[in-house]
Amino acid sequence: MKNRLKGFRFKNGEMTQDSIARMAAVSRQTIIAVEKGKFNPSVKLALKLANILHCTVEELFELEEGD
Amino acid sequence: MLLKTGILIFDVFIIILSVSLIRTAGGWYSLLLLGLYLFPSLRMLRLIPGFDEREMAIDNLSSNMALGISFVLAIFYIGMSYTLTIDAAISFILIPFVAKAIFFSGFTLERKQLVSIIGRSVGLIFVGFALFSRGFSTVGLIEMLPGIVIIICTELSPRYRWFGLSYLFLIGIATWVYLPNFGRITSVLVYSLFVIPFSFLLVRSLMNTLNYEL
Repeated sequence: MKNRLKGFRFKNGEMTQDSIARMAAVSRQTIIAVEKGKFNPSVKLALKLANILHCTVEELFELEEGD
Repeated sequence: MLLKTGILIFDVFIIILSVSLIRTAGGWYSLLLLGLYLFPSLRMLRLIPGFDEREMAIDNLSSNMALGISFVLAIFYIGMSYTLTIDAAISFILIPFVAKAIFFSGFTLERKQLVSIIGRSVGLIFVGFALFSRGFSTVGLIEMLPGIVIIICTELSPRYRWFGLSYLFLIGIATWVYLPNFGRITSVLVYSLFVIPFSFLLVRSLMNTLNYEL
């Protein structure tokens, strides 16, 4: 699954991974893992992230071929 | 409601079983209680933060790995034709317990944080053990040396990556010391408790990120 977390972080006033982690009530390592595509978040976390970054889940995450 | 009652009955059963094991078999079984209930209780009381979803997934993964290790241990004990003693039974609690803690920290923490926490803990255990058993004496200082070497390696390896290879050297020394005594189950126990953290430290200090997907 592809994600545009990093791009949206910078679009939203260069938010840090740490600040997003605190707002979403997860660890910074989780945000790093999501950003690197090593962890697929649950629907709940995806919605929280989309809410924090003022975008939709579809804009933030995209299925890749073979997913 | 029914599930919660079931879990409560199971918890009470485990606590009674653990306490009787501590009283009859050995104090090491207190680790069983500690491992099962300390952190969940602290989390329930909100004294430490709860797991997020990724940490929960890693917790499951590390539990499976620890279970795998206990299978390997069983096969090894059968292969070596050991007689089942209290030490062997303790090793079935202690080794998977340590392995789970190390796998969990290994997958959740950052490289520098992980090397510092595990390395310092193991080093301090060695130093503390020498200090308590021998006190401030020449013999005590000699026994403290491995612990001091571990702490030095821990302080240097996050800064200089290739210094992580020193853990391979420590694993080599442990193998050289303990392998001839593998006839005794306590040697296997001490060797595992030494080699599991150092194997993980070796991998983590050399690799910047672990390439795994959850």
